[in-house]
Amino acid sequence: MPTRKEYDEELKVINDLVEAMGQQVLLAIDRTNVALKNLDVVSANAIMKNDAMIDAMETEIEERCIKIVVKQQPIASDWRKLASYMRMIGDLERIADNCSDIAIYIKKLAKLKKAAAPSRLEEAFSDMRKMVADTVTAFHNTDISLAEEVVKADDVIDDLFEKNAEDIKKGIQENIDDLDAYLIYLGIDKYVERMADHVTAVASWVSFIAKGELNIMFTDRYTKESETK
Amino acid sequence: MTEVKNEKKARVEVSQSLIRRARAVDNIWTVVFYLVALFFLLLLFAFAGYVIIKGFTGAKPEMFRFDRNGVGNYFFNTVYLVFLSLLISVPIGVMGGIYMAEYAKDNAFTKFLRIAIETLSSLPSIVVGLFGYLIFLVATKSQPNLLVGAICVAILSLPLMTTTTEDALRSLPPSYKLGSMGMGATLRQTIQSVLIPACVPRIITGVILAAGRGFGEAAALLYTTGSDTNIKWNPAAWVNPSLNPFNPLRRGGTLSLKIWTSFTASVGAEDVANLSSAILMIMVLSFSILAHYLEGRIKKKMGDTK
Amino acid sequence: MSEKKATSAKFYVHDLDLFYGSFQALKKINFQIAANRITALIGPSGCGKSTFLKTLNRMNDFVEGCKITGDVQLDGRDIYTSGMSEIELRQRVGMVFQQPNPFPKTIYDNVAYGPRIRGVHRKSELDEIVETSLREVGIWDEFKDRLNKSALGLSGGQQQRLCIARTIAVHPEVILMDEPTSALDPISTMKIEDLAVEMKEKYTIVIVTHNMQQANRISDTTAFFLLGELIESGPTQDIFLNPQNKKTEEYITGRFG
Repeated sequence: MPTRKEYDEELKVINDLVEAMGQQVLLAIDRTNVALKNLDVVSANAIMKNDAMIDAMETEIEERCIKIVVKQQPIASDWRKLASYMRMIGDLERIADNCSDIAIYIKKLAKLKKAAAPSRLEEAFSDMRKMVADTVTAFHNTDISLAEEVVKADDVIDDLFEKNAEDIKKGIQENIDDLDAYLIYLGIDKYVERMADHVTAVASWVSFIAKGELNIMFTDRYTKESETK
Repeated sequence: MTEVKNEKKARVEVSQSLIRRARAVDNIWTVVFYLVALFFLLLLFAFAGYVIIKGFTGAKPEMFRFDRNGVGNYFFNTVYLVFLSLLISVPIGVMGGIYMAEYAKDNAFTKFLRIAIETLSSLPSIVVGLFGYLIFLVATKSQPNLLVGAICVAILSLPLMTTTTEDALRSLPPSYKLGSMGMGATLRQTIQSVLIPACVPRIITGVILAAGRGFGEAAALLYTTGSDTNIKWNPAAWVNPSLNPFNPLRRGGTLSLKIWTSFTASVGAEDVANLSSAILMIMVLSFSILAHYLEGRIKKKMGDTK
Repeated sequence: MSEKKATSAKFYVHDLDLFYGSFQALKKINFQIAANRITALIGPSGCGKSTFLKTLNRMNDFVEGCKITGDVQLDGRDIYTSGMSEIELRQRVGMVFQQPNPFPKTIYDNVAYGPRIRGVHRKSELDEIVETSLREVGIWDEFKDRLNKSALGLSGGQQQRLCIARTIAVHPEVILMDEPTSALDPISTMKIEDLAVEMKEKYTIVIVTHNMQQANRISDTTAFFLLGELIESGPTQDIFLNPQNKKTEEYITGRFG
């Protein structure tokens, strides 16, 4: 059998594209963070415009994966990679969408009187940002332990979400006029939590590529919830 | 400029004439080879044709009779003797071939055995006849008879049967043997139920060839069968066993011996001798053609099923 | 994928070494073959998988200068040293070869060959065995009206299925298949693969194949051989999705011939 040069080259191209997409998502998160701090409408618009590019990346990677599976009938680690890529890019695209959703909120917030952001929103944001950055690194280095750390960090974000929600509740009680702004902050908080969920799934697939054991981390929030009154 | 052109033209002309020469020589040699082939054909036709024509043109009807002077009895003896010899040489020869192909190990003993068989096949037939005479007739104080002649002819055709069987077995696809032994058959079962049945056509061809050679055997029979024959076809006469055609322990001159005696015995028996030669020639030729025809049929049958 | 009750090992191989003269073709093979499963042996040419297969029914005995050390046990009895006759062994462990090899006999006589050499001579019994065997292989309807035709006139795929019928006519427990479909067209290959999967209910099947998709499709356990060694073995899905040994991964992804 030949050394499957064409196959190996294509696998590398797809791998690099997935990593590049991760970097783009990370970039979008950073821009969103800055735009949120400064309530920068121009940046918010740019973030939304950029989402189309990330969508296009997902489409291209998807197409390449499908083509190569049909052509080369991959097995073993080749297959694990390709199966994982196709799932990971879905979650990455969703994270990028969430950045655009936050951008919409930023534009709304800019029109309102400035209200106090929840005290730990910034912390949640940067924790989530770190999770995404670590996942990209773990993907690049095929680092299982780093991926597993990311999965564990999701609990912290869930916790922060609760605390932020408390803050927002207090803020509404104290300043009923700023209700609109607080509701928006609640929405942003929710999106941050969603993005953390998505990146946890991505990290599980990174682990699958390396270890070969399927162990997708779904949030256990619902199980916990269902067990309370 | 023209110098170069002329030089080139000259070179081309030289090489062209060399080619013409080579082709001419090739054609000459082709003709020579065809002539050689023609020579073989003509030789056979001339020889066989002459014998057969001479034999039958000088023949008188009474020569065909099955009596003392006719060739009928000799014809019967020839066939009967070869039949007896095959009864001996085919079983032993086939078993020898089976041994060589399936049981013999690759050692000095086998090599020696192979040499022995080869030597047997090139023994002068007169020597075998003498051997038969001394061992079977002199030692046992018997009269010359058909059986001893048959034994001598059998000895002569044993190597052919052995070699035919061995070659036939070796030419079988090894998958037959593996398939059979892989099912838990013993070697004996495999040989008996798969290998030999697959070889039967080739073995039959060998038998026919051996028969053809046996018909023409003369030197081995000279002292062993007796050159004349006196058999009666009336069963009433078989009270005297030596007159019974089916008794192998009687004298039984064959056609080849009749030719021999006719020339040495008396003048005027030439016609009988010629007829005997013609009949013998026809028997040998037809058996040879039959063997080739069968072989072709077998090849086709095995071939187009692949 | 329902897991039936734990299957006991049909073959137990321990520290098996095999030499052809001074060349060592198998090196310290330790392996178990489960009953009523399909076990696939894969590996590049010359890796010893066919040699190992032939050890299981002592067909290596026919190769001069072949020496074996180690244990090869069938149902707990060593097939080389316990005095088991090769005749009995080969009746219990049948073999299908790479090139279909029907005997130059009729279809009927091919299938009846095994029973006949075992002493079955009554026509009614033989008729029944022939029909049952051909039915099991799925070619009874195709052949029932030409049982007296020569087997050599059949197509490759038909011949191979006839050989399988011939093998099961003596009711073996194990069927060894040495690249049974490599000489056949894709449709015949598919028919024989389907047949093998059906047959594992009744028989233990060990198949040597150089076609990894085939091993992936039909086998329960896969063993990878390389240069006379058993590199890795395990449940087929695990071997093909997540091989533990790097050489296994390289071979099955086609990174080396």
